[in-house]
Amino acid sequence: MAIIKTERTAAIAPPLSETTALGWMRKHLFSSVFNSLLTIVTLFIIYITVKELWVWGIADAVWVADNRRGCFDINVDGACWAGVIAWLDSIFYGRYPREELWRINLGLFLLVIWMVPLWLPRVKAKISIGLTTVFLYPFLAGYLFSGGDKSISMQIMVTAAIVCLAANTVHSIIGVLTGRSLPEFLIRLFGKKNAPEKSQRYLLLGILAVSLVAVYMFQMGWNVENVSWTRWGGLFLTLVISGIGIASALPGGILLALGRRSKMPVVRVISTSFIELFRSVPLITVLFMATTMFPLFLPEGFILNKLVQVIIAVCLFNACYLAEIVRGGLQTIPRGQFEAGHTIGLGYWQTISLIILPQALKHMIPNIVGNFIGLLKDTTLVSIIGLFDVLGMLRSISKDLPWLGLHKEPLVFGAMMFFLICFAMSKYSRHLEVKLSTGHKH
Amino acid sequence: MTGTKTQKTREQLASAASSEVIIEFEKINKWYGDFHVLKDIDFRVHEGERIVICGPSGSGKSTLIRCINNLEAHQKGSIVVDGITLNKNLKNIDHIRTEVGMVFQSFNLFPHLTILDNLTLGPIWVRKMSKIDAQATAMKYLERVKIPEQADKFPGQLSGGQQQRVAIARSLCMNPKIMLFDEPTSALDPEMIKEVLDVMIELADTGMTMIVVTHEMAFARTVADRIFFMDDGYIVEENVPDEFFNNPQHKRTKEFLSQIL
Ligand SMILES: Nc1ncnc2c1ncn2[C@@H]1O[C@H](COP(=O)(O)OP(=O)(O)O)[C@@H](O)[C@H]1O
Ligand SMILES: [Mg+2]
Repeated sequence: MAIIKTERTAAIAPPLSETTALGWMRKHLFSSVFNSLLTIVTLFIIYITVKELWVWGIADAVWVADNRRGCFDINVDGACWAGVIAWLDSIFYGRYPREELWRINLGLFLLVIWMVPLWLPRVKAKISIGLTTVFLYPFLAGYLFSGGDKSISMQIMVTAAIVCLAANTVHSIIGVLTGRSLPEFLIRLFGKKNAPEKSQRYLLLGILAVSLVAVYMFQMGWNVENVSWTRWGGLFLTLVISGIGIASALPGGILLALGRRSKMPVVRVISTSFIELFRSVPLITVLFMATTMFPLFLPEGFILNKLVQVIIAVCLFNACYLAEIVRGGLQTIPRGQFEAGHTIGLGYWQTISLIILPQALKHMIPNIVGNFIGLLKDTTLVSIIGLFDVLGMLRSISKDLPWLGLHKEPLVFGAMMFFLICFAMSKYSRHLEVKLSTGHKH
Repeated sequence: MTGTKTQKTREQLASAASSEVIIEFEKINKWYGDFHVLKDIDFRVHEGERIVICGPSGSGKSTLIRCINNLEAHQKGSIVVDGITLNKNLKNIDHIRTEVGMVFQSFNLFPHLTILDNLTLGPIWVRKMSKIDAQATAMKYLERVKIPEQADKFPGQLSGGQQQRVAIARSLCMNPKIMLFDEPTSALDPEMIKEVLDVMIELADTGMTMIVVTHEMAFARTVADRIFFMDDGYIVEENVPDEFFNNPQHKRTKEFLSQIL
């Protein structure tokens, strides 16, 4: 016989173990004798390591000294951070001329300005902002970093990039303030709100043309000194290589993955062999091959510098890895989605970019970010083939006369730097995942 | 055969009302590997006609209607839709797909887009309509399928019946000449079947050319101009509803009807 409750009971507070810290500890850390023992041993080990690190890295550490001898004179047992501090500029910028460092800082600053709108509310057309970051920013930054004389095509791209950056920024400010887009704003500004669509378009094209010409004139008079790529180095170089790798890996990976699924046999075979070739060889081999073998394939007299070769190698390598991630993501999308796209008349590329990829990318975010983190770390391999990236710089400290033999501190510092960057990336990926999966329910 | 005679007159009736033949299948054969799915399929559909296709599972019904908008390619014979011959020419295929709407058993809405965006995607990207016009059209059709209040939700938040009505509205937004339905109610709970069928009946009343694969015999009886019965890759029998139900000719049709009615 069922027991039927006739009275409603008031809600009861959950058991103690779930609410207080003490209760939580008892439940999770000291639930049995063995568990308590394990907890105590673990705490003890943590205590010893943290204490040693603290004493070496902070308590006994030397922050100010002229050379390694000076460190020893103050405290032999502590870390000699003075060496790392003296080399800080080199760790970040390599051998880039000191009086030109503002160019690197400006370049990074512009990148931030370019990309911040992607995270701002009410800003429209975020996809085109993202695309211009990938396709136009590199030209502006490239000129800023390397300088020298601009070829005509470089002048055009720099002009386009500057205009685009300005438009993006104004567009974003207007977006945040009013929720409108730049074109809408301009049309209202010039009182053409009710004008026919054609005259609105002419107005916008006119403004665009005028600003392009104006910026072109301006940039003709704007020149910065040439800095050879051989002086690029440090974290800056690492970020340049991995940044280009990351930016190109996704589009490259998508194209290769689509190629691998293509109905055209030639495209399919080429994509598949390309992917399999690069995936079955370690990156360091690809780097060596790139620097020794690319020149053999190039026409006579056409010399690529080593940095460009390395960047191409890194891009291809990562595109192939990403291609497999993308392929996995595409497989999670049911065939019905393609068919539904086709039946409302969308073509192949429209179906892929409007329907398939937005869904597939969401599933792939953890893997993609994992790949990017790997790429950032793998980039340190270029120090083996003679580029002075951040690892190369960290290791040359120990060969610098005043700091001869200072190995540990630079590497610890480097490890902390990488940890911070990679940890931030992986946290952000978690955040994105949560955000996208709560954005809509399935 | 009396059946054939009635069918003839009926087809003539339809053609008298509007002489346009809008779909023409001539000796269509299709294979999946070695498996012969469609065998000598031969029929015509006139503008404004409502055709119901039924038959046992695996008889090739889905394959047949998917050939109309080239989701499946046929290997032998010729298909002409809206005056355009379906062949390898991608332009023709794209054009036909804009004229032919399709509703699937599993809805196939785009889960990452709101209902409104699901409806405006085609008009904006294919018909090059302005966003405002596309949204107005979308709202018009959402009202027609009686769920305008769901416009800003995502497909996952709707019931099956609502999703299927959205799918119908999504196709209608492209202003198609022909609508294909592949078992539109088979994935639905019984209490939702009616709301979808009602929408389809209203659509039929507007004079839309419809080809419907379904086992809803009451729907077939009231809405269809002709019923095709498929078995083992053949169209075994083709008749007007009265004759089809009361006086089936073929042995397989009789068996099928006795099971399903
Ligand atoms: N893509 C395919 N590849 C191989 N065989 C298929 C494929 N699609 C359907 N078939 C087979 O073709 C036959 C007809 O399928 P279908 O047209 O879906 O039948 P129906 O819709 O009448 O149930 C079935 O036997 C099915 O197994
Ligand atoms: Mg079927």
